[in-house]
Amino acid sequence: MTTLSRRTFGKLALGATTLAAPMGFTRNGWAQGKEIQIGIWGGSQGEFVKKNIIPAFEKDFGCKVTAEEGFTLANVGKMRATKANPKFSVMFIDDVAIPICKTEGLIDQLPSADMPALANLYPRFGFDGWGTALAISVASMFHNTSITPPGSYADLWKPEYAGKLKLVSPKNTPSVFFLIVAAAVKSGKPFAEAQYLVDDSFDKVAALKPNIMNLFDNGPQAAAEVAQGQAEIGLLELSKYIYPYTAKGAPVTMSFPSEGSFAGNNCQVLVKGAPNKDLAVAFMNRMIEPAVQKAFSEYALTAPPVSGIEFSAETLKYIAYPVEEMDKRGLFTPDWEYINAKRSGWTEKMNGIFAV
Amino acid sequence: MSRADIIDVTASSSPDLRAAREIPEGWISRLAGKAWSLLSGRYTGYLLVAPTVLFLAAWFLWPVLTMVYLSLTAHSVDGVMVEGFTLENYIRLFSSDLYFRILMRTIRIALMTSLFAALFAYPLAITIARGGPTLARLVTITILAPLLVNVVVRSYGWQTILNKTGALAWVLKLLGVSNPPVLLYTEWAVLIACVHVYLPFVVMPLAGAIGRIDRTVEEAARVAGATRFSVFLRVIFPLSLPGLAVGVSLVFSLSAAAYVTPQILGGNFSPLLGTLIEQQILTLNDWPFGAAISTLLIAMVLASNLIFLKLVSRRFARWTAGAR
Repeated sequence: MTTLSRRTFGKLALGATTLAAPMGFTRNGWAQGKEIQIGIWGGSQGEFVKKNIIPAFEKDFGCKVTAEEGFTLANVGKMRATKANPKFSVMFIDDVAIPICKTEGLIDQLPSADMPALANLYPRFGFDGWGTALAISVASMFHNTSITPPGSYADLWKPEYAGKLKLVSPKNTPSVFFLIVAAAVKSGKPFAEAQYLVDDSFDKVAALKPNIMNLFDNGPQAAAEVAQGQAEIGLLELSKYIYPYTAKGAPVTMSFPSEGSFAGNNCQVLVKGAPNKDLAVAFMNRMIEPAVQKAFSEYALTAPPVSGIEFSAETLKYIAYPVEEMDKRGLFTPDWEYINAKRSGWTEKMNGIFAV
Repeated sequence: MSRADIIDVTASSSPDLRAAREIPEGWISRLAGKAWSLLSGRYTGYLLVAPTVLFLAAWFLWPVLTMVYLSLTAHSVDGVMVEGFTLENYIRLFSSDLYFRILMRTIRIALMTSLFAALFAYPLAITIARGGPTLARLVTITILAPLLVNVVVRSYGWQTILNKTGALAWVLKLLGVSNPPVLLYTEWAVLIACVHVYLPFVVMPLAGAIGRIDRTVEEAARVAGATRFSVFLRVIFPLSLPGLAVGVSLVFSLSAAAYVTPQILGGNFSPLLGTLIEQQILTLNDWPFGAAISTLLIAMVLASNLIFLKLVSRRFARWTAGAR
């Protein structure tokens, strides 16, 4: 073993300190001048990320973050297209697509040691380390405030609702929630079991057709139509599309039938082979820090996936938080791995019922 | 101006033309001279269409070939694309009653849109071609106005007119209809909006065709005792067939491929093939099957247009045979 003299050690220490000084004196100096490209959502959530979260992060880290808007499957498409030569570092997608990204090798597991904010993440929103949730919406029924909504989904099949319901289109994720509801109503089983009985429940789905006015694929538009009285009830949609209207005083709100509700999880994932991975991880960590989550949740009226955030009573009216409140409302997250394999066939069956 | 006139002008010996054809010295001049001789020679036609052909080859033909190739690749059930050749997508497409019925609806809507657009187009085209200049301009502007509005905005406009508390229901109630029909989210809503937006595509070529009909032919028919309707039926209609053919082909193709209008006004109860393509590609991530439906749509539109144009040209040749 080589021994160092006290003089040599002193020289080395001085040299190392000199070299490290610029980084040590500048906060997050390692990130200076680095750049990452991220895929985010459009709409109000994307707007908040671009206008508030990214500028503060860029200032703190002396870096550049370029955000490109898209929706879940478009963002998955971008990861596919750049798989050989990754361009994006972080991608925002819904939980439905995480199993697909995992199977196709598009994403990496998160380095938990480098993400201190993970300590506050509720385990159910960690997706086995393949991403984190960023915002949780409740998917349920919405209705015009002039009517009393049914207490159970089963009531929607009654003739008194003929032509008064708007149903979500098969192209939207909440249509899967509706299929689970139909299976639960037919079988009398909870959502967790009913999701595996959807194949046998399309007769129940078809029986609802006389009550359906149309199939909608635009949540805010459907909320506006229900508020105008074009239809009485819409099923099902995420609260983030309905509550902004409710909060502005429109006569539309959500109701939570006895069978339970669904969790719509907006998530973030780390792209495999991400350029400037360290900066990407820092950004993902920032996204789940309590201060960021509080502001983000209050803006979009979604629940945060982390514990320990205080909200005003007004905000708590619109979000299911903390996790005990989610459980109380029976927020259910489907088995996406099973459903993704079935979804094409289910969509074809729904088209067969409603489109011809 | 007749073909003979054109030949006469280019062959004229006016000093300006002669000066233009003289080739100055220098390599640029020689190059220009070479280009000129090519353009005025037997390759003129090829050279003139070359830019368009290249453009279409790069931005239409190549994507279509890629799409056809994609329609022959495989796709696993959990949304992951896999390499390999298969006819599975086409077998699925033709073995399901659903896709056949939606294909039939697509053809039906496209045909009905073309028919109604043609019916509405004739009076408008005659007004543009034969009316006074002010009226012709006014009609032209009115006809083209819908094209200035974004298709989404226009569709939402129709939605506010056709919904159950909309303008149409209000007018019908004023007229004493106690329970007016709601057209929104039906095939009728899709048809009305398609005719509205695609009407200019028939009117303009038709107006051009009618404008080219020699008025003396119509006058001769009138002098011979034909009524106005007979003149339309036996003179204007046959001689305007080329314009009608162009217009109807455009409207048929555009209606068959329509996506936004059926999506917004059909309420997913009346989807056309375009809606299914979007669903397969963006929702189900099944690009190969989406490509197979797209290939079917393109083949159907192409075949329909070829058959229609062939029929029209045969009919036109027969009707105008006596005049040649």
